[in-house]
Amino acid sequence: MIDTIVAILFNALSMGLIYGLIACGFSLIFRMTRVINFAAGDLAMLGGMIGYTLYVTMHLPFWLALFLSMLATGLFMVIMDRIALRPAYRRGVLAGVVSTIGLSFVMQNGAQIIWGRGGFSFPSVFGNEVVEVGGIRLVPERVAISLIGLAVTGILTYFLMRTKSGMAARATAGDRETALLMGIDVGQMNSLSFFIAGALGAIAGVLAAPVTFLTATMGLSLAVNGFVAALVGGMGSLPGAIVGGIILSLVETAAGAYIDANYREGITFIALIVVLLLRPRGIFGEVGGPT
Amino acid sequence: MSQSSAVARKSAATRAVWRSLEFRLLVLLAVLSLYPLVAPGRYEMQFADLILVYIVIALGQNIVLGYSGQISIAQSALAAIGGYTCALLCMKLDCPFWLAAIISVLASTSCAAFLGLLTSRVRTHYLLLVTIGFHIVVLLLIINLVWLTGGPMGLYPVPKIRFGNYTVLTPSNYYYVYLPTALLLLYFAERIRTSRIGLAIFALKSNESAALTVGVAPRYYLTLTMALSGFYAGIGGVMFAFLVGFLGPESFGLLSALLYIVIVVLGGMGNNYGVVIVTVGLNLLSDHLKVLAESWVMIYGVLIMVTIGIAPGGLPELATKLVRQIFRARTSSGGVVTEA
Amino acid sequence: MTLILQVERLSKSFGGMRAVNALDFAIRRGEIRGLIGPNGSGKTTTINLLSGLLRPDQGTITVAGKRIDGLPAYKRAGFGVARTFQAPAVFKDLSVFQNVLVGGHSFESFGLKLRNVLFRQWSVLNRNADLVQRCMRSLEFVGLDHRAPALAGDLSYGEQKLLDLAKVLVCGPALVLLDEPAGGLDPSQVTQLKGIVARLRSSGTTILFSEHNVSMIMGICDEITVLNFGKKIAEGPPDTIKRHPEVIACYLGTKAADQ
Repeated sequence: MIDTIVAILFNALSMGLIYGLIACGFSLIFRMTRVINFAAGDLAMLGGMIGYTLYVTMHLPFWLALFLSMLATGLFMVIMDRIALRPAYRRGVLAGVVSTIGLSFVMQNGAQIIWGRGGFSFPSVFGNEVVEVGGIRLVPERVAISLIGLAVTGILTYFLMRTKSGMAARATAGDRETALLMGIDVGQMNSLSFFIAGALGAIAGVLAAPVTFLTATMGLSLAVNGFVAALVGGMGSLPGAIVGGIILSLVETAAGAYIDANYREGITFIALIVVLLLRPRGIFGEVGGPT
Repeated sequence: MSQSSAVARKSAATRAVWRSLEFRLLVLLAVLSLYPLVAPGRYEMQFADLILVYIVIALGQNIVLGYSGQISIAQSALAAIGGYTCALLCMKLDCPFWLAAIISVLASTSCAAFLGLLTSRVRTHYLLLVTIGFHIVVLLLIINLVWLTGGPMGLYPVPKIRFGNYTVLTPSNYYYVYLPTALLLLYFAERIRTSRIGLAIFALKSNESAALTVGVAPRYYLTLTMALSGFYAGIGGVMFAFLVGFLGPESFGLLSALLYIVIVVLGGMGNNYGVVIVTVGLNLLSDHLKVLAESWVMIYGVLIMVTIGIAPGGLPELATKLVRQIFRARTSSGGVVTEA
Repeated sequence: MTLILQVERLSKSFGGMRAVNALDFAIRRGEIRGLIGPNGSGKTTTINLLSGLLRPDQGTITVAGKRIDGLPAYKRAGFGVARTFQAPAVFKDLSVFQNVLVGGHSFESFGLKLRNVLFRQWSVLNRNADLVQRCMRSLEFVGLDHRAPALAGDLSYGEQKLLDLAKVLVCGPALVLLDEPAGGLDPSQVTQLKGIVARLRSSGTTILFSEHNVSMIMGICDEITVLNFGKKIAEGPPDTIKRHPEVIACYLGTKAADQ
């Protein structure tokens, strides 16, 4: 009994961290620019695809593939921000949203051109077989995802809380004008946030790859999940995003297992919508709402 | 003296008629009614009919997003409700078309109103979330209730529209039913926009606390715009179902819902004519691109990003910028050069 | 003399801080009342409570004999309560005329009914001649009628403040609340403002305004209510307030009060 619960927990935790990382990217970009990034899920897709090419096709070591994928996706996002997104969101939130929708189209179709319309099965990195550790049955893949996810969260938190650039980024997100007056390069901070968002998305994608099926169009549903997770945790809050992702995953698993697997997504949504109706700002969100 | 002032009044009145909304739309109706005479073939005719359907749904999105600034992504799902309800009533219960259509549009409008009531206290992202959730639930129901909706295989065949003894059969028949419908709905949208209701809605979007101060009730107007969007979406859904003759979940994806947002923003938030133009333009574009390139979606996306980057205010801003560029080019080339 | 406004034991706290503390005061019909106090004394909070943007924790607000403290903000306009904002609350993307037209929202409801809008000719925007006349008169009252077609966002700061006032006057409110109307205005504009407020009173409207500008307060108020830390510390005609030791103390310190 306990071992099934543990197995389920690790399942939910690993998926939850993946959602959480995407949600982090969401919240980060939202804090900086007030834009809802519809391409957030496609960043994960891109990361996963690049990871596939590096790890499977080119046989690079996993960690190297992960790292390079993060770099590439982060850079991609920075470039996209500079040339396409910024001219739009500088003038208004909705313009920015539309720009991200356009970006999503480009990324999805671009991925189809580069990697084809079929999907990829990413081989397991840490082992998909159930392993018994001290009487508890675990899937190493899931454990590894959870651990890596938590490690990334830890590093991100450290970066934002302790390092100079991290604090500068948080300051800019809180109050742009004051940040400008303090001599912080707001444009650079924006780029940094987009880079981190891209990198986080890539990690989410690479971690998700072994346990899901990689397709060029997987981004939209991931983005939706990331959005919900970010809202539940409090839009704009990074720890909230992670927590929100885990909650989302737990509710999703429960809905699928105990109510109806066919309507799993719908039930999850309704449950979380009701929760947010009672507490609109989410777990760590500010009063007054995300508007 | 009185004679000339009477003449002056009469010419002012006639000028008012020429410039009135009713007159312009009647002219538009007359001109566009000639299209079937110049259309090359059946495909172009059906394409025009389809564009009319998208225009109706897009006008609904313009009311909820362009007028009141609510980010709702429910149009596709609401259209699905309208289309499926009407088709099922006609197919399974032998309901006369006009009755089925009324019931379906009522259904979509009430769903939208419900969503509006739910979210009008907590705004922006919550509405987006709720409408995404609504979309997911509706599509899940369509896919899973196979006995009712045909599931992923779809609902087929949807009968043709009948008015008494007359059956709307060919694409040109449909054109003469859908064109006045679309223009009538455009007329309503314009009347709402220019009325004090529309003014209150725009004021609410512009400065909410100021609007509260003069007595504008926020929940009422936000729910009203949502309900109107549902009304339009329902009609569009019915039009779609009976034109295409086939309903499937893939016709109502999240992607198409996103496109309606793109259309409204590109058309100039609240600008009905802009929305119509963008709808026609994007459809023509995708149709032509499909022939040219396998990867037309990418070009589509690039165009969206470029357009919104140059003119975040949409088509009206783009037009103003173009006019200014042309004007600047003209004056610089036509300027006086004094030389010794 | 009838009381147009009665405030009894009004209280509002934010977190642990009492912004307004058991406030009691009343205003007679046709009066010009000033509300003064140091920064943070609760002036804007009081006006927010009166206009409905905030709900009181305790206390009652009565306008012309009717309790309004339970009503949401948008319903208070119908009870004759109008207010302006410190930062001018205008609709920047609408024209000046459209701004005042929105102000007439509570004036008549025929043009606001959907079926009339869709199917009746005379409900569309400009057809209600009565309303249009009221709007133009309101603009003339503040001196903005020549700017009617301009975009509200293009107006100068002072003009926007006037527009803020014009739009709430369309329905002929009984009680007008002004939140620091002279803030950001130069002396000539303040004089113009004083003239407008005086004319407003002579048309029968009661005015309550919070202010820092001493010339404005002492110049036109019939009575002044002084707040400090959310409590009323003094009330009376300008001459009394000028010499009131507690008032001087809270502005300048106790040493100044002793002198």
